[in-house]
Amino acid sequence: MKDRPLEVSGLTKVYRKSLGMKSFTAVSSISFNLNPGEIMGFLGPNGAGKTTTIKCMLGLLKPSGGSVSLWGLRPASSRVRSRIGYVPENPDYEDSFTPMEFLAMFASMRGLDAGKPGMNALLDRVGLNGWGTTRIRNFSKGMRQRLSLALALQSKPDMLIMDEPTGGLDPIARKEFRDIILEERARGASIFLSSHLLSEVETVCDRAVILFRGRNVREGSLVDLLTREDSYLVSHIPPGGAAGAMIEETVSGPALQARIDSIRAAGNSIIEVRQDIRSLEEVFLSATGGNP
Amino acid sequence: MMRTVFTFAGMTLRSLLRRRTIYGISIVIMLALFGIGQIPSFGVEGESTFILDFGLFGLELGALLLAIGLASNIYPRDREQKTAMPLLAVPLSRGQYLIGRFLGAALVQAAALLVSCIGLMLILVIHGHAVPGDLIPATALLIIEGWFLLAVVFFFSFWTSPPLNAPMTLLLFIVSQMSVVQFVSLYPQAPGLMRTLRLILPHMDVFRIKDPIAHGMGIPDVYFLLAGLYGLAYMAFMLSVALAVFRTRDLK
Amino acid sequence: MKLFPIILPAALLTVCMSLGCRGADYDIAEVASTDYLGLDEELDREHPQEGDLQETSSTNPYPFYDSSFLCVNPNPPGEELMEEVESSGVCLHDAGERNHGTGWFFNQPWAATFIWSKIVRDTVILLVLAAVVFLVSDRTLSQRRRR
Repeated sequence: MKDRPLEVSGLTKVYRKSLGMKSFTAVSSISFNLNPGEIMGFLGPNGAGKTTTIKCMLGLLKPSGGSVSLWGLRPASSRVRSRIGYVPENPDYEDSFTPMEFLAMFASMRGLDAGKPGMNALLDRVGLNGWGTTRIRNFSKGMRQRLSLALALQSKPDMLIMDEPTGGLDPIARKEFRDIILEERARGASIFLSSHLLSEVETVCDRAVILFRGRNVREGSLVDLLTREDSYLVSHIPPGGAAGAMIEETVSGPALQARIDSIRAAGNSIIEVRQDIRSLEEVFLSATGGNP
Repeated sequence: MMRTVFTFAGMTLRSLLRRRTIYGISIVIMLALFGIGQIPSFGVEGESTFILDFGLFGLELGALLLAIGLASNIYPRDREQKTAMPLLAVPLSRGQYLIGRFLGAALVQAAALLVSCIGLMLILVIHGHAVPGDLIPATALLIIEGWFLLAVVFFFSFWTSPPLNAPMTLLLFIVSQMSVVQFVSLYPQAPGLMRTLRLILPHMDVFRIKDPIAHGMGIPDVYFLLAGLYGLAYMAFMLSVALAVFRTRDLK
Repeated sequence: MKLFPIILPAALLTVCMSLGCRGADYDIAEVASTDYLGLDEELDREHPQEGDLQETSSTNPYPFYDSSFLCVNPNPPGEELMEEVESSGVCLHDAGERNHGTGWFFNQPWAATFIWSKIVRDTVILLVLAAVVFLVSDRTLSQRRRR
């Protein structure tokens, strides 16, 4: 589909070693799509292949197999680059420059208006107000991440690709980033978010892909991923019992009707029957076997 | 597209000027000019010839050293410090990155050589000698030679490390000065192979104008034009090959 | 595959430059006509005998030479110097003129106008090759990304 911001199909990346050393498969036949206006979480333990996948999406690495297309176009084409914003992992910039200089240069390179009020507003939005004329060499890691977010947002991109944007940030900063992500989604942007922070993904994402050792082991909407298949939570109270005496039990799908009948036969009042939900951490650990 | 390239070239120019590299280059230029200015104290006959000969040789050598000093570490540094990624991911294509970096470095190199040329002129004037009319076009030709060497350094920088880049560029500079006979004599057992290799290498003797200028021989303007175009064409060829190599590189 | 971007342009350049192999060579001593190099022999024949200093040919093959700039020896050599020159067997030639001792000076592209057309030809070859390499690498990149 040409209007789909991102389509990854059978993507494989093999790093070939020289001098007789073994090659290493970083990513093996992974496939997923990002729909317009969606926030997708990209999860995986260290070394799973997340950054490799993102770099293939941006045209920084050549895939060994499969394909990546953004709005039906090849990565790194000029039309694609003008529509995306990228927040790299551990960003770094020429440290002799100031944020205002960088914003001005990026605006000029993108053909945008490089007016000072706009740049000040952008720095204010990412929490760097007052730091516009300080050289980047004096910035902390968190401040550099804020700058990279400002650079990514500058062109009001149709898609944001964020590689662990909140790693190493304090909780307040992480909340600010999450708020910005939600604002961008409300503006209509699609967001591809790679993160280690499961709580963050659970809060903002609509869909998630879990990568393990270069393979796609889980994919789907967050609701589907978190819902235990064919497992229900039945809440009931014994006759004459107070609310505090509520009993919750997990019942499998085939046995659900029989259990409900038996609870009623015992005179208990059924308060609620719902699908059993697990945490994203449980999903992640079960998908990766709890191993890196 | 050109606006993007020029903006990035300006960024490169500012970056190079803010690094300590430019201070080292300035000191070397001043020391060289000071050394050339001492020639009259040796009481040599034809001191203007000596001043021009050494001065133009210094300019040519300066072009080579500037090319290596400015460009050998640009891309490796960007790659290792990961400053290349935010640039190449979004605002710049690889071609724009290469041309922008090249233009910025070329401007610094040209400015340094022009300043050196002005210094040489001042030395001639101070010691009461006429400034040859060909000195300016000769400097322009040496600037073009410097740009060609800069393109060679960029080409090497995409597939070698900085410590290997400098000797390879120097080797290319030296062997390209040799005539075919001299080059074949390096390995006379395979004259055909050596001749073929020499054909691929640039003809740096096209830029050899120091001798006639130092000895007061006029060079036709059309020669400066032809030699300049040759240098620019070879520079363009080296940049296209550098870009072809850069496009195959993964940014890990 | 990684060496392809280097090998292809090198191969193309070799092929193109090899067309008229000797003609692409700027080694003046190799490709110059006998008329050009024969000047050395002519000047050798006119070489002054011992004790008989003669003027060498006044025909200057380099009409753009202007000796007014030179200050090496603005005055004619004095008698003492002339005797020393004659007894040592050293010969004098007009300044700025090609002779048996200055072949290295004049065997350079700036002096050999017949080489200039080859410079133009190689310039054109290089520009065409630059365009070819650029287009081939661009197309290769597009095809790789479409896979």
